[in-house]
Amino acid sequence: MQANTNKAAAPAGAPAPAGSAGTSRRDAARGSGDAAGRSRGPGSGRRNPAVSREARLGLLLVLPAVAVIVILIGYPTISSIWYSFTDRMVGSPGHFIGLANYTRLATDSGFLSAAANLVLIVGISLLLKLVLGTLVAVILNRPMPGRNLWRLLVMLPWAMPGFVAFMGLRLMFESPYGAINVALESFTSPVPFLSDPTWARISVVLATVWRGFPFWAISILAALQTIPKELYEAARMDGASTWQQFVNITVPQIRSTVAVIAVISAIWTANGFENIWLMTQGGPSTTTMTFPVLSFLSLQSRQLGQAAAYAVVILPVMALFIMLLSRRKKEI
Amino acid sequence: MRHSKIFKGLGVLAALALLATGCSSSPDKNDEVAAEGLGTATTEVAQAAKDFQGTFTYWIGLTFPESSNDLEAARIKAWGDNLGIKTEVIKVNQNEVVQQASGAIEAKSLPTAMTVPYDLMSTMATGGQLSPVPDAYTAVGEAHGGWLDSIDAATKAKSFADKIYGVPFGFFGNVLFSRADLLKEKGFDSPPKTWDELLAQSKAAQDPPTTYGMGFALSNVLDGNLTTSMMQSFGARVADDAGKKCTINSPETSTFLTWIKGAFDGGQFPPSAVTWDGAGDNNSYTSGQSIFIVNTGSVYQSMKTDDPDLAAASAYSALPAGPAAQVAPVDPRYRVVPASTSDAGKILAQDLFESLADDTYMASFMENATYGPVLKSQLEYPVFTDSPVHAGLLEQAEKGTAPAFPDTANAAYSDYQNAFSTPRMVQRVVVDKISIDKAMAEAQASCQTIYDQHAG
Repeated sequence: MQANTNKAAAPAGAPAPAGSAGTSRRDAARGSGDAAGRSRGPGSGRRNPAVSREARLGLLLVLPAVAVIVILIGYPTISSIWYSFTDRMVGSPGHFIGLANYTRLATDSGFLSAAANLVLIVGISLLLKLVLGTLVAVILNRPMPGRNLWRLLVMLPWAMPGFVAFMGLRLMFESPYGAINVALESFTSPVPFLSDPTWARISVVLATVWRGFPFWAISILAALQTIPKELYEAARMDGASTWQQFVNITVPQIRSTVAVIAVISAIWTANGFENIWLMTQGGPSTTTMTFPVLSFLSLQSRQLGQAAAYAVVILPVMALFIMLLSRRKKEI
Repeated sequence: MRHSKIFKGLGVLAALALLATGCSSSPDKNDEVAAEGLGTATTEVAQAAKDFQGTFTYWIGLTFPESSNDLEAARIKAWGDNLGIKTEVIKVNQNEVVQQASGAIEAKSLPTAMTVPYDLMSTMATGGQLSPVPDAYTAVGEAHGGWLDSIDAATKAKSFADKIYGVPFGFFGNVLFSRADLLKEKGFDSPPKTWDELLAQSKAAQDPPTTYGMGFALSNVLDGNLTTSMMQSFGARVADDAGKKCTINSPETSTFLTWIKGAFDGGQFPPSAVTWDGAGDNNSYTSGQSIFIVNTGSVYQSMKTDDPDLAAASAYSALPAGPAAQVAPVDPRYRVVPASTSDAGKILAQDLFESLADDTYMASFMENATYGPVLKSQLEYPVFTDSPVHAGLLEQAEKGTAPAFPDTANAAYSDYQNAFSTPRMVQRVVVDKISIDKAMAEAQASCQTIYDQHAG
């Protein structure tokens, strides 16, 4: 829709930048756009030198960005995929072994646990971050004394280095002398927060939520501030309750933002290493195992091929998240 | 007002000057020891110093306390200054040296020389990433009364194919720390000689959840690899004599797993032992939570200053024996030269290794760092009679077992250990409660994968 408007608004005969909004890729590839109007005459078979120059300049200008993407993203990604089909070890090129690294995963208890945790830890963390982030954002959006200070304080868990945050949390969760167990001393016997399989999962989720919810809160707060106040005033005049205003105005208005945050947060949580490694090293046994930790453990024994397989196997899930993110961005 | 500002300024300057004086006292002392015995270079070394391009980079493995690292750095700098070459010392956490070295190998950015544990020397030598240093090894041995037999045997292991890839300077050994005060109350006057005795003492003396008997890590950290030595002392083996076929799935492993499961289910281990980090067992002992731990000696160094009463109330002894044998591996630390180092760098590195073996310097270095002796001249250092932990290390130097014993020390065994394979198998039994047979089968399969990769 917008593309058509732009096309119509462009002055007749003015050359449009190749590939710019208002010019389809196919048009740009033909070296046309509005300029095509001039070239579609008797001389349409010849290339317009001015357009070719622009196209070359355009290519030249995007070249650094393409080079950066190829070197920093393309090469490592393709290398990792290739390594995952080899028995490569540190310092030796290895041999092609087909799907052997992947077939081995099927019987690996760590892999099965990591797959389950991809759903459990990531899913529950996202849900809790959504609830807590929205709640905090709504509170911080209301007038209150020292509001800016509260907003600053809420950001602290997210702003502090992950290493400090998770080491601190680990010490708090320790049993029997961690701060939480000491605080609970009068009420219960020591809770095995990190050593009992169920508690370990809960502790890791709580730590992940604590560290990650400020990002949600601040992003949702930003979205809340873009909602016109008139909508709420009109709803109040119509007699809508606070809950009805939240459900019928706030939620639809922040939905797109929440969707984008959810996808980004899912990617970060699924790829999170320090939250698991510093709290439980994936244990006890494989209870809190994740793909990044499995990959790291393989690297410990210098098995680059196996480590790459653990990293690559999660790529389809990440690709799905990224596709969802791209679609949401387009909608916004 | 203005005078007051001037006085304040002078006060701050004076304080800074005092601080600077205080701070500089230690380096001065270090400098004296560091420069000890640095003589005139041989013609070959002087020529190498002239030919050497760039900075001589040396990775040292961090040890406790920091003063030991500072002393080593000062010694290397003094050696470089003496030859007129620029040196750079990079301190690497010994728990991360495998990752750091792996990254450097892939990035082709290994230092000129480095210190490594036996395991890493083994894997790097097998991968062709180290340059042999037979001359330096011989020269250091001859100049200091000869190498201790166990160290010499480890350095010349069959898997190195008659080549010598490193110059040892000390070894890490596991010492059993026990709360002699608590054990005496229960009638135990001497540390346990066997794992069964340890279990019995643990049962009698512990008082959970305040104190637990067996403060041994069962988690995915290097300390968790103590379980491999325990398993071997029950007669189990990781692989066959050829070092190619894994033999974990065995009746002996089953006996060990049954024993440790019984101890765990009986509440002898602090429950958090299954997720401890590298300092978990140390903290457990110093906080009074555990009666027994196994440590290389760093905990003693820390207790000496932070809790001398606990240090005095503790006993230090060799690792207990299992039903089959006593397995107390020495873990020598080596100075090595990467194959990527230039020819001039290789000559200089070997000269540095000889210089770092100087007895005055090493006696001072070992005064604090908890390394066991590797050379006969080191047996005379006062620290090995003055400090109970060092005395334990001295005993281990004479009676300890070779790295990997009774298994064959090779790169595959090193990577088996690096993958924390035994503690992961134990966790499958005590945490996931799967059958011992299934846990052994899983461990056997993952072990064989590692060994096959090295065979290929």
